Amino acid sequence: MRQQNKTSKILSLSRYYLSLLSIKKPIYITYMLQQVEYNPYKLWQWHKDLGKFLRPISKVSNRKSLVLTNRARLLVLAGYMHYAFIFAIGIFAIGAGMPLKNFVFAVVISYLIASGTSVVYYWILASLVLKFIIKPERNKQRQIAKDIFAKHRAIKIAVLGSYGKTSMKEMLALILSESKNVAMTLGNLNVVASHAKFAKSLTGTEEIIIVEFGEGKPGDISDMAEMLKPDYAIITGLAPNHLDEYDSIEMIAGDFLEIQKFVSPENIFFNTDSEHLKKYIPPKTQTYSSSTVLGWTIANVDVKINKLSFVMNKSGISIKVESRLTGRHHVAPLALAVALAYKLGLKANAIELGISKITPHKHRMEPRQLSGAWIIDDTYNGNIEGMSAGLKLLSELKAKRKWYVTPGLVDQGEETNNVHIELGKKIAESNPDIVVLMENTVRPVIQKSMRDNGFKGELRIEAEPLEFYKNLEYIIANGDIVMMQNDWTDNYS
Amino acid sequence: MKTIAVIFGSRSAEHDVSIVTALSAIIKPLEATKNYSVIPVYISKSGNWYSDDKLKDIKIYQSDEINEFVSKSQKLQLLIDNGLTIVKPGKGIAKSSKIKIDIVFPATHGTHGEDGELMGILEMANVPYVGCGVTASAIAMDKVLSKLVVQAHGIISPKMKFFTKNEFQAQSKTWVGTILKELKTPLFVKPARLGSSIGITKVNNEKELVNAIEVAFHYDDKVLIEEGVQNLVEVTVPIMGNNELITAFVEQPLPKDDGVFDFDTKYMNQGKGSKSTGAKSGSQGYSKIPADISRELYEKSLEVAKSVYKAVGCEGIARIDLLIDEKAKQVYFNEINPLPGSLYSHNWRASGISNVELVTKLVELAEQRWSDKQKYTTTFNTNFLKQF
Repeated sequence: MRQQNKTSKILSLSRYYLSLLSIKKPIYITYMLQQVEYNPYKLWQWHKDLGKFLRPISKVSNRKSLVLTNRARLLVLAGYMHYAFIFAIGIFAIGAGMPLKNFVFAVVISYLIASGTSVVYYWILASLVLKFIIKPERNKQRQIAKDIFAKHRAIKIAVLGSYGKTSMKEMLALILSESKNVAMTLGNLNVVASHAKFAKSLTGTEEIIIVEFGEGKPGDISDMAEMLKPDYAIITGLAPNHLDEYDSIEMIAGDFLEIQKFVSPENIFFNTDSEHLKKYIPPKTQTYSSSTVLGWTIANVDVKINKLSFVMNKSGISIKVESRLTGRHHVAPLALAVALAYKLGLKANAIELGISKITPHKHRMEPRQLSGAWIIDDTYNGNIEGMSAGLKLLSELKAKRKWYVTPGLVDQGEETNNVHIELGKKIAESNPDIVVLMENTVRPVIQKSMRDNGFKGELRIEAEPLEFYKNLEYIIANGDIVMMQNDWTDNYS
Repeated sequence: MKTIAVIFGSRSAEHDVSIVTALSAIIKPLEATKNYSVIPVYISKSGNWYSDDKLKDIKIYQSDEINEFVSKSQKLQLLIDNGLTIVKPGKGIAKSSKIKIDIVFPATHGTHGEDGELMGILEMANVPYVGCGVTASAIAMDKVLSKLVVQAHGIISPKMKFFTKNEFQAQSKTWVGTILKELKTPLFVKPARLGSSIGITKVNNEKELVNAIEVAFHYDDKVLIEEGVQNLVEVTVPIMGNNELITAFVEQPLPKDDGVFDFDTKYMNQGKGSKSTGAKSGSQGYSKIPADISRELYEKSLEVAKSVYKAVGCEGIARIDLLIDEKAKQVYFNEINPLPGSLYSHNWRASGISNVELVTKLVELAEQRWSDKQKYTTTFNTNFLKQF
């Protein structure tokens, strides 16, 4: 056995080092740069991880492939020019005018140097691209967008938070659209560049504009708020996300609270269902939860796998909420959307009609049937609070057999261990019959925490996530519920 | 890791159906278990055996690639040495290779496979294999024989007449006259030993009867003619087990407008043209799962199906087709499928048994039966030869 392990280690080492010499290396690195949005720090991190786990560089593009944009073409070309440059120096220095064996030696040495320095070269290149191309362009676009928003007379609503932003924005827009002209940022496009594009697409006739604020690094929220100058702001929740950029959860909360500089306290709505957010809610601000929102009380909550219903009452007015959403965690945002729509002048019947049009967002607690079983696709979920909501839902639903599938969470920085210990604990509490973990850096942490917290079900560890997803239809049957949370992109695999 | 050979294709009218059964319902789930090394063994339409990982991909059969593969590849050889070993002969400088098979999963439908012939080879090799044995397979494949066997166990089936091609040709007019006199129309004319409803015709008069018999003789030299059941509801019951039986849902296939649940309805049309609504599409075309019948008839169907399974001596898996006279509350035996198309996995899934669980259970049953058989003494020492 020991001999076998040794052989396997030697094979992995050889595969890893040989892959680093691949002639396609500039293509692989450009692909990863695309995946990490030209962030040099993340590129470096990813490259370090490859070495740590002896993953061949040729295996980086599992799920997607390089999109040949002009920028990508230039980067690939620049990569090969780097090789050519090193060759030229090498041949000049060692081989010029020498016998053939010296020439061959020069070529080999140059190739090794070019391969060995290509990541550093790309790191420098990415830093330069970021500083001299991306940032100035972003600043220019930001100013254009800021001018458009300043002139626009619509009510502007900002939606921010560690999770649930897209759902909140879309349900609010759908309900308000029943009697208002509403525009919102599309999907999960929530960065300055996408906001600038959105601003340019506005016609000027919109009555309400809803903009999703994504937090990628400190300062992002105030940056976007400065651009939009919102009238209302909704903070959907707080979770330890993007801890590779933020030092702590306090820092993320601080970033969210920056919104107070731009919106008056009575127009900021904090979700008190979010455990982490609770302690940062300042006085005199509005809150919403799954029991009350803006003076409305919430009753008769009924959670089914593909249905969520409840009743909202306030001063003799009653609104019946019947949606096709899944999970109790949708109660608070749905109720806020209803209350806000009512505040902005919508009638109860228009609101109810709007609610009936809300469907689950793709890959976010999206129930679908496969081989007679129910799959709850929550693969866009990427934070511990969202994972917790999914696990609570799983324990609440009735099924012959409950499955929980996850690779864990990314971008957790120094909190990685703690977050996965918490995830393991929550899995054990939810107690699914079968848990499927993907083989990766955080798997042992989750597994240990599950065991420490008394998980008694079956644990399966999958080395090939894509193969598992492909085989899922053969593994499940009628009566099964499979909760799938989060999915790692290539740079974390 | 155990090695499982999945054998499919063969010289059968259901050659193509067998490919789908093997690839989608058996090989993929077996591989998904990660407990087995799965070897595909393909029997071509001309009866030659091949094995190659390429044969696990449906695309090869959807084009001429399979013909090219068959023409260029080395035929497989079987080595029977108290077990089964497949031998891939060498070509050129390539050496021949041997793979010892631990378990065989037959996926052949119809003639030269589902009818007991393949099981005979596997019995000789003394290798565990999935599904019904030689006798049950042979009985099940012969609609006449299976009816005679179940009738002997007190299970009713529609009134029938049967004959061989020679018998019919010798006295065709007498046969037609007797049939029309003794059986009530509509009648169903069937080749005795063919599955997937191929060659079955519903007839109402003499002319149709004669034509239908001629059609049936194209497929088999033994034909049976059965009375149609009145107030008909057709149902089917997938069963698995050796001694202890597990049943899936009683399923109700929905026939075309002419009342025949034929090959096209089963495999091609996905139920287009069906009269009924509210049905679910399964891999076997349109059907209702569970069948839309009274509780009493549902339970009776399960009981009759299990009695048939036992009477014929089925093991592993089989599907029992029944005909119900809904008004008379009478359940008739129709036929047995010792290897249901795609294992009827859609129904097992609906019953809460996944494809992976299904194939795993079937492999376990095969090993259990083989293990039980090893306990019997198969030799007997005598002085018989010394007297010569």
